[in-house]
Amino acid sequence: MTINVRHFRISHQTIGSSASFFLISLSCLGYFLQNHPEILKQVGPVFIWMMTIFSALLSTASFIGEEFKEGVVEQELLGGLSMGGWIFKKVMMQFLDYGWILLLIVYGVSYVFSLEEKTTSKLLFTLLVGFPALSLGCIFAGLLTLDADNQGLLLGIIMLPLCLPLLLFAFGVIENPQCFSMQNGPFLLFMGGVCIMISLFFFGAMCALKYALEETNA
Amino acid sequence: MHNILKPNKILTLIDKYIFYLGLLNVILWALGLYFSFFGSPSDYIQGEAVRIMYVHVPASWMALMVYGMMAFMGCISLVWRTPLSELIGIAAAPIGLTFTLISLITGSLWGKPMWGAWWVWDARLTSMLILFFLYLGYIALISAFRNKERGLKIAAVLAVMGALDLPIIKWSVTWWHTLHQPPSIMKFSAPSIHPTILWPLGVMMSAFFCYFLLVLALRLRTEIKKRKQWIKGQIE
Repeated sequence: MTINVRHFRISHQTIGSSASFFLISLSCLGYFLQNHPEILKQVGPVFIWMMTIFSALLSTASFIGEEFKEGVVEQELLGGLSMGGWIFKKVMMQFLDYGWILLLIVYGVSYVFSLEEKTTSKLLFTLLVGFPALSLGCIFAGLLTLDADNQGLLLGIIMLPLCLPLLLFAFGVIENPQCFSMQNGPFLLFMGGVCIMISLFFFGAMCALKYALEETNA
Repeated sequence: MHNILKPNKILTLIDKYIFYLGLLNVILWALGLYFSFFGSPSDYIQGEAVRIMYVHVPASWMALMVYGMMAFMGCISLVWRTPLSELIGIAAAPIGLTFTLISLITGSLWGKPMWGAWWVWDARLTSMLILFFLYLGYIALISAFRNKERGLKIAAVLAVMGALDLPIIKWSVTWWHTLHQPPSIMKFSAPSIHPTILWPLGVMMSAFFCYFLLVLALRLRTEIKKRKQWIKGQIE
């Protein structure tokens, strides 16, 4: 299983717009609430999480669609890559191409938002751990709505309900004054939620990929 | 599974029992509405506003139950590819969506006098709103593809995935600090509602359930008749 230049070329076309959207929306919040640092501190982490979901949503359609259009998926699967392997590779690519940039932006923005160090570390942790689940959710929704009419609208309707629980769990961790420990309820909830979401989305993405390939071959 | 979920068998069953189901509906609704409005006391804090509960709670339970059923049917259609399970999903989704909408609207109407706000971004309310969008997504997915069969399969996958929201809704009031009250009926200890309120609530719950069965049966009959050719092709 290799991630080559061709994959990055496809994903680069979509990642730029997502990262810019993420940065612009966070800058706007910082600018409009510059005179209300307390509110900024309160809403900042949740807003960052919301924008992470939105920016992931923004790139989903073309991130998945382009590879299908160019026939890359079929080539890879014919070359011996399993469906699970293809999905895993997509998650890796999304993190390598976009995830770490997002974490860097969040780290920078946390200073602008004057977030406490503890809050920043919790936020970064939830984003890092939650990213695979979010990424799998994107892949699942992207495959599900492949070739559908009004794909953008459908993606929003499907992705948001599926990814909002992640935001709720992450907010529980960020809001909790305790640090990460096995006795910390919100932390356990978040970790459990992420594990369940990863396995469910992985299963869902496999099903959706199977149906998408059946449709392409038909 | 193909033997159990035979469309013709279901059609015969519907035709045979639809009248009795309708009659049961009339009786239960009459009893339920009488007890809700006249046969139960008002709350000593909430006053007459408590009567919203007789619509809000059954609608919420039904919204969860219908989605659970859709997810179960989705599983069956993914594993056994039975056309009837897909049709049950199509028939049930708009009913579940309506129950969710009723739950959200009545909750909002109840929230204003009790909490002082129509809406709060509380874990229970938010997770219920998520359920509403899941229903919308399911319905939108079915009709989003030119190949209708693909739409059905894809929607079944979404139904299964969306079932993740059900335990979140159920335990949201336990896991997070919410304005919404904690569970008072479906809990390990005895219900904390007085029997004079609990009984009418039970009757209304039965009325809502019977109404769901009636509308589901009518919609399913229409769907089966509309897609006779497709079902034939699937079974062959």
